[in-house]
Amino acid sequence: MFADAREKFPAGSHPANVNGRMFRRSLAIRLVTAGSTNACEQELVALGNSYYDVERFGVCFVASPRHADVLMVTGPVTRNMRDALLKTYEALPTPRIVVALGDDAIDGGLFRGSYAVLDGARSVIPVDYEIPGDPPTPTLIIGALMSILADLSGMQAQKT
Amino acid sequence: MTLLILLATPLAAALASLAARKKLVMLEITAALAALVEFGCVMGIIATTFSSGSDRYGSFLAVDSLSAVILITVALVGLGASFYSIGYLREEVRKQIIGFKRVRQYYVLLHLFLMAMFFAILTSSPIGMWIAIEATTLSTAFLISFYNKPSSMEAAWKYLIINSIGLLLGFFGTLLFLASTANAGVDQFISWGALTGSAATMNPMLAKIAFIFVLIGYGTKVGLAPMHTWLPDAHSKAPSPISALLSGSLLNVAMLAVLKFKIVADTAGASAFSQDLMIYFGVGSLVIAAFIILGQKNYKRLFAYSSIEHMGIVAIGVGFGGLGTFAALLHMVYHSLVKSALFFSAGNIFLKYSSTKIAKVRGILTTLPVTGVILLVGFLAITGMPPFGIFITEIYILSAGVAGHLPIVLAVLLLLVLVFAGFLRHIVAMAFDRQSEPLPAGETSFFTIAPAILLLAVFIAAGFYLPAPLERFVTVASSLING
Amino acid sequence: MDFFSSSGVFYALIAVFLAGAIGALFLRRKDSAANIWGNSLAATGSLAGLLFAGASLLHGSATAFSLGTSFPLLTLTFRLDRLSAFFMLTVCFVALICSVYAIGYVRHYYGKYSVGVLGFFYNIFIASMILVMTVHNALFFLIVWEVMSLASYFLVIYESRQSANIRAGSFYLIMTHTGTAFIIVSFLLMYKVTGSFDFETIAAGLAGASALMKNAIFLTALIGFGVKAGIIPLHTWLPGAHPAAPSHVSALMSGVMIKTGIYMLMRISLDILTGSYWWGIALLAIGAASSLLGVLYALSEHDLKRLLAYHSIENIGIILLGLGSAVVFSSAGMDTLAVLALAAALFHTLNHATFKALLFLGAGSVIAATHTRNIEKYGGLIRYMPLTALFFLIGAMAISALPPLNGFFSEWLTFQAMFQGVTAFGLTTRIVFILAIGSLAFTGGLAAACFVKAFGITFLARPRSEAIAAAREPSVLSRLAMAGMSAAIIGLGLFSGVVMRLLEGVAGSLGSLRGAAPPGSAQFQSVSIENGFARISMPVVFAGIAVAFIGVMAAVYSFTRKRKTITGPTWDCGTRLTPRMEITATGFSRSIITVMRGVLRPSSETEIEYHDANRYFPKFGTVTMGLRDIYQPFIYRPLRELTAMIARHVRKVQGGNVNAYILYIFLTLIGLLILLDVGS
Repeated sequence: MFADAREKFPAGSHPANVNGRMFRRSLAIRLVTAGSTNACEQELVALGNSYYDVERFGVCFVASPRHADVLMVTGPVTRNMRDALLKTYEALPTPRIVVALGDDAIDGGLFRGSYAVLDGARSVIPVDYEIPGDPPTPTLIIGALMSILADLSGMQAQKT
Repeated sequence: MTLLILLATPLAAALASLAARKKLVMLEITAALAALVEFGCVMGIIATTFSSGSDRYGSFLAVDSLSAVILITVALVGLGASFYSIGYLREEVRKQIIGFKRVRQYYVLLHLFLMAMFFAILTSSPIGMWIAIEATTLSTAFLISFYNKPSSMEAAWKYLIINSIGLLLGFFGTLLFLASTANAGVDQFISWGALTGSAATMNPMLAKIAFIFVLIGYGTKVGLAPMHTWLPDAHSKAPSPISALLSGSLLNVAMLAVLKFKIVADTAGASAFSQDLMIYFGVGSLVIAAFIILGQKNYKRLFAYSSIEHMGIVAIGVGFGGLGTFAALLHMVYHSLVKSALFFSAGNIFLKYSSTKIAKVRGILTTLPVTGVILLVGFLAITGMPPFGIFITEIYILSAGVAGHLPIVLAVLLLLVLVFAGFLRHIVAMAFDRQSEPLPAGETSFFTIAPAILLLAVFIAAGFYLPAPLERFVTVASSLING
Repeated sequence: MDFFSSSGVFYALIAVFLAGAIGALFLRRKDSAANIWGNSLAATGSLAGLLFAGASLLHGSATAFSLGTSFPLLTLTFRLDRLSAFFMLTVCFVALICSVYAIGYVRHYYGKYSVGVLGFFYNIFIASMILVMTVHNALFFLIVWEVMSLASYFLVIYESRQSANIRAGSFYLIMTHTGTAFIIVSFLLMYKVTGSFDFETIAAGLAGASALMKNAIFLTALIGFGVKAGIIPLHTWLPGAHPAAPSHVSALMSGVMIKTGIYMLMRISLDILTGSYWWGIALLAIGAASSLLGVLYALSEHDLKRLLAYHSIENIGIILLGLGSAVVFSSAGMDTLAVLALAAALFHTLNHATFKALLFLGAGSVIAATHTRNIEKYGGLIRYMPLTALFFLIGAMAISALPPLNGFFSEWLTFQAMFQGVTAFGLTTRIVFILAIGSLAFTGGLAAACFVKAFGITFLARPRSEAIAAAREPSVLSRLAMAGMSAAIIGLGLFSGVVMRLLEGVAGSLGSLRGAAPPGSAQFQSVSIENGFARISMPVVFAGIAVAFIGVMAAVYSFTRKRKTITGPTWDCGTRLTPRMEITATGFSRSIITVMRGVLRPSSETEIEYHDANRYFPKFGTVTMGLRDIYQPFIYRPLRELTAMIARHVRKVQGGNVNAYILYIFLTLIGLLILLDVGS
């Protein structure tokens, strides 16, 4: 099931400064909700339930950017959240990976062009991977994360 | 001869003051001169007594070691009070509280009062002493009612009535003692010596009864509880120099009478009884004074109650006997010096703040810097804090009693702590707290400061080094009293 | 050496203090002159006293000299045996450091309060403490004792424009005066038995006194000197009075003045009298209670100087544990162990004097720089006053009994003495010792917690108020003084074996312990007790800690040498970090207080102000946390109310009615006549 999703959405490209052994198939994610509609969050919450249970893949959400490998951004980045996003990004230890989750975060999505938003995370910080969808389903998110992991670890996506 | 001059000087000064017209300065010069002459006479008498054991003029006037001790206190306090009166009354006149006539009346009475006290000490006759002490009552009654306010009139009235009754009882006691001389076949002029000489033949029971009367009678004048009731009113309503004289010397003079009769009664075989009696009255005075001091609201009354307390301590010391008597006599000297200084400072405070209420007086150390220091030092001295002399005399008295009267010693210690706590509370509030509406800082005049400093300086010096005459007098007198 | 221990030097040094006192008073119009004159003469006198006491201590046999007075029973007798010399040494050393410190510190009083008056009472205070430790006549002792109390009272109320200081001072003076009354009773009882106020005669004369009399003497002395020493429950004046004084005076009061009480307790229970069993048990119980409660109260304080004052109570408790053990051993005839326990007590006396003085001086520098005593307002001071922080840390480590500093050694010694008590006695006594050991262990832990709080909140983290940014190191002399004291603390730790040998000599010179065998060997290299029961080598501890420290530093350096370090701002969750977010002193200690709520009775009051009458919308809320005072309502207030009640009744006598007054006279007359009749 996840394998399909992974093939469907090659989420992005391998950042240059990432060493293959660095993450050891585990990701700690810090989420910043930069003006999201809360749709993506609903799906992310679902990742934690017993059906999807994302932690079995070594992926967890952490409370502080200091503990995180990945900065996950949702929402089109409102003007008010710009500083917070930047600060969080700067607080992440290097090498840091940025994942934009959902169409809003990728390019502003529905809200694109509004005076209140900055049209996606890319306008504020460099984004490494993107997970499209408005919102992406939990399956899709997990698949994308798996492929990101695989990509980071320098492995081919495993077929399951 | 000096004895006669000592008596004649205040009389002459009184007459001179009476004759004075319009000029305040005349009165002041008279008072100052008289005080200096009196002091000089007393120094002369002291010198004679020190070299030859006693001084006398005819058979009517005589000074022995015991009276010499009291004479010193009266002379010192009299000197201080005379000079202090100058500063104090000037300020009152300046404030237009009193006029020239009142000032003249004051000085006349002051001289008469001093003369009565000197006479009470010098006379060698018990009856003469009684008359003199009665005379002090009369002369001071008008001084107490000096301000003519209802409260001061009431105080003077109480003073007159209670002291007259007391002295009447004292007179009765005196007569009882004198009656015994008839049995011994003495039919000439009855001096203290003759009385003591014939006392051995006296019936001890009669001696006890007589001593009860004398103690209650003169004890009223001394301010022993429960006959002390006039004292707080009288001492607090009188002008401050008079308060100083009342507390600092008149009480001692009355105590002198008690002590002289005690010697007589002891010779008659009532010594254990008289000692017990002194202790009871002493402890009673201490209890009353200590607890009332704790909640006192008026600083002059505070000092008045403190006088009751100290007379109580003196009585206890005499009651304990031995070293206690020595200490008691020394204590009288110390107390009169400190208490006069305290009353002088009270006068300065009154002149500045126009109130005798503790609650109205705040921040003395800033408004009256010198008086404030005098007040603090006086407070520490009067409550028996070292390194001042009263501490040592109190310890002596306590150690004299510890062998035979341990419970009383403990009670006295407790009461002394209470007195200290009460004093501390009031004095600290007056000295340090800040006045809501600050008064201009500064002392009234040189004459209101110097006497207090002088007396305190003498006191402090005497607390570190006992002058040889004083030591001799106190030693001889205490051995006389202890029998 | 003999020159220094001659009476001339002693009189001269007292004269120096008097000159300092009076000179400062005369120079009061010129603040800086008064400061330099008063404090430098105090320092000179202290230095002379240090030499004199040191020479007397090494001299061995006691020197005595006296002056006569014109008063009976009063001779100015001085006698310097080793105990007196030791205590005088302590006084002079602390006074020397404090005086040097004061020259810089007092400057901040210029123009505000009279420096001349401060110098006057300061010199009198030190001189009277020296005299208290050396006089040998009870009457003279009482005089200098009260002079000391008075001088310290005037120092407590020195900042007289704050009414809280005046109140604290009054309470202090009344307490100490009451204590003195008990002391007077004790001396009077001695006088009753021996007929003398001379300690020498008293000691000889009391040997045959009845047990009841001895017990009464001890008990009154315990209460009287206990007030000054600050034992619980007579300590209530201490946390108010010590902080109110200028800091160099607080250092003297906490460091040495309260030791005068300890000195006399030692003198009376082991020198003048021979201790009996229950005295020792009582001292142990008081010591345990004081140490434990003292440190618990300290934990809940957030006034830096009050906190230190409570620690003085704690340390007095620890000293009393040693003294109590000594008395118990002495009463059981185990003089060797008594010497050990007393040496522990003496050592802790000296140590507490050093580190408590250092802490107060450090606190004084902090307070002078920040103008507040509330530690919740400090924070981050280490950046502005690094040296003060270092000295304070040394003091804090010493008082928390951390090796290798001196506090560690004396507490270790106290422990060993009490362990001896456990092994040497039967069940009941053993239980007492075990409880005492437990309380001491607990005290040590809590003291460390408390100083983590005090140091952490004061010097670490970020400034909690704006005044901190203006904080600067104190003047050179003040820093020098603190450095000297720190050096002494380290030195006493390193050379504790040598000091221990000296103190065994002091302990062994007391009347009831004379000729006791030393409790083991005390060398610089190592101290061993009771043939290997316990053994410690402070140089090795020093070396071990140094090696461990250097080793760890080297290891850390070698591992991290190649690593790149990036410094960034603290992650603040997007908010702005403010000092309000730091842990507070109250918060730090609240958990321990809550655990101990049965003893400490914490209180918490919440006040909320509302916008509207219906109380739906709070404007702001205040939570006040503190401890409920148990001494005032249960001990002091009933006494006060009883006195007030009696006073009310007595006042009725003076009702103002002449008729009643006359009635009194006649009732007295009739009563006496009846009494006379009944009596005969």
